[in-house]
Amino acid sequence: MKVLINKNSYQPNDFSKEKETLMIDGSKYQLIEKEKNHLLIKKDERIYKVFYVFNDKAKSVNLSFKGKTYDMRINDSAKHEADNESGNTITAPMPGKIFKVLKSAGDLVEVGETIVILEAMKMEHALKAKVQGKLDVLNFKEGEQVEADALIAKVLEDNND
Amino acid sequence: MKRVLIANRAEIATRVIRTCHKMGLETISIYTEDDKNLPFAKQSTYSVSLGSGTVAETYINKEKILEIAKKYKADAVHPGYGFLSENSEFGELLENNNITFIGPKSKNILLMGDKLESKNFVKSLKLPVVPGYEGDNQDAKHLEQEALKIGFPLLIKASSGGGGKGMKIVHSEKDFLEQLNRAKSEAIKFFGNDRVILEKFIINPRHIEVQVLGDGKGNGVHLFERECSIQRRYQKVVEETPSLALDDKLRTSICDMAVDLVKGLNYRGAGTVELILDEDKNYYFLEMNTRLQVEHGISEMITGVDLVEQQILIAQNEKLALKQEDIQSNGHALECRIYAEDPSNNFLPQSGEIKYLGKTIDPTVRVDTGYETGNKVGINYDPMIAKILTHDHSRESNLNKMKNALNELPFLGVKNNRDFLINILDFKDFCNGNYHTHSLEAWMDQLSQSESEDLEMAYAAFHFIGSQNISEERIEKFIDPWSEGSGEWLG
Repeated sequence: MKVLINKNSYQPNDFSKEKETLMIDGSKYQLIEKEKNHLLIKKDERIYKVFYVFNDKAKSVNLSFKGKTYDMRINDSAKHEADNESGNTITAPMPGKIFKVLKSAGDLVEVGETIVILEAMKMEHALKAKVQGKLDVLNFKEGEQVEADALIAKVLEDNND
Repeated sequence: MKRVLIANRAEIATRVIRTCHKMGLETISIYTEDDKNLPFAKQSTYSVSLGSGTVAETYINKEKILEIAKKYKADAVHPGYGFLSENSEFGELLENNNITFIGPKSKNILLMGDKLESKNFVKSLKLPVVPGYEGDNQDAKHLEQEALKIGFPLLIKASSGGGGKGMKIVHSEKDFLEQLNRAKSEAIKFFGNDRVILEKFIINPRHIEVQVLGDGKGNGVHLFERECSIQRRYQKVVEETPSLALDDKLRTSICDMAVDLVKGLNYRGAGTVELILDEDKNYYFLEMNTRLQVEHGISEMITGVDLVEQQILIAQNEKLALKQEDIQSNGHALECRIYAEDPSNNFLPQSGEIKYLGKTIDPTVRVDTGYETGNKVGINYDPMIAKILTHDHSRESNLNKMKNALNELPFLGVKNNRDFLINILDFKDFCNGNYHTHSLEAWMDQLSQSESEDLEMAYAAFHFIGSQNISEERIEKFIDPWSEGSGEWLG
């Protein structure tokens, strides 16, 4: 599940769930109490009291713990998916670092050709062209950090083929 | 005195009701339709609607309030702060109708409400005022002579000015005449009058004020100082006592000066003498507020004196029972003001429903608020929604105590400055007491940087809130499962 935290997209690298216990990026989060406006979550033997309310006609949740307030909502990625289905855009599937850029804006690319290699969770992910055409947009350089769902590249589909 | 009408709203009305009831007095609250669900409209013995309308038609409508006071047989009116608290006509109107005004005598309000006259009065008592020249002789040569007496840097201000127009800072003697000409030509342009006044420019001033009480029978005491230098656009944000800027000798000197003023005025009631302190520890009278102040609670905490009770006793024509030697300053007290405003968007005032206010596990924390969970904060009134006050033996432990308290009081539902306040309490220069009235603006960029966000914990909590109900396929829309009439998340 992708979420927006204070308007920034977030998704853990590693997530699993067993009953009232979550594993997020190597740490264990245990739910020990759930009340109308607060949760108690235990992590590394420390208890976190998390206050929450529903806002914006229940489209978002406001959380507060350790003196900070968070606005959280589910990342409405329907629009991205529509773009992705058209095949023209290439977005980051997860947050990471641009490891290699193999093409330049204006280059002609074939279906399946790697445009950018993203490094995330200590692995390399090749981001490939899904359509054939001219590389119209290339937003990042090598070494730059990207967030999940960031638009990396756009291909102008070659329809004459 | 049996029955007191409180001519105010929200937290200060609640605050006054608390002491009235403690003293066995009945209370009358007056409220507008916007405010009918706020606690103060329900905590009093009688509760009377003012209907709807502007502030002028409701909370500061003198005739209407008098009419209610007469109808419901109020013996006295407490004005709180703001609204009619420093309106001498209101006090007179009540007294003419045999209703006690819980506040100073009209002539004290009038004199201290006039900037120039109050300054001249304070000067006549040989108390320090900001050095300056306000005379009729506007000849350039004469003004230059006066400027030399005052010293540099100094301010040239348009007599009828405001908003910084026609105001010049002069750093040295050689620039004086040139800046004087500029100030005068701007003054003519903006105000049609080229008369100017000169005033010493205080670099990095600290705002110190002294809480005082007088009984109008020649007796006066102080309840020590409050430091209110943490301000944003002249709005106080954090206040504390004692001030780290004063040593015992300076404290005694400043507080004695405030008492001299109370005695000089033969002042009756509670008041605050505001001063500015310069970098060389010189202090100057700024103004006197002839009312209970928003931040009065921290003085109550360190002295154990209930200021509203004192106001009521004094208004009943009693002699001040408190002797100066009985009033001791004990420990450190701190106040943080929660405003419904958005620090991430230029502190714009916010409105909306307080969906969860919070409560502290520590019973020594004082939460002075006019709201409770479920109340709406509107845009028609002051954006201050609460004052959080803590008291402890040392400043260091008290700062931590305040952070614990704020952590438990998120005021969720309306954007507010709670997180920003915590950032101030963590800020190094605040912790060291190294600040003045311009500091908060200077710190702003660093304070606004959101650091140490715990995204994993937020994600975990988000998951648990809907863990039985949210699945990847059903997350598009959900509603509060706790809200009335629904026990289910909607898919």
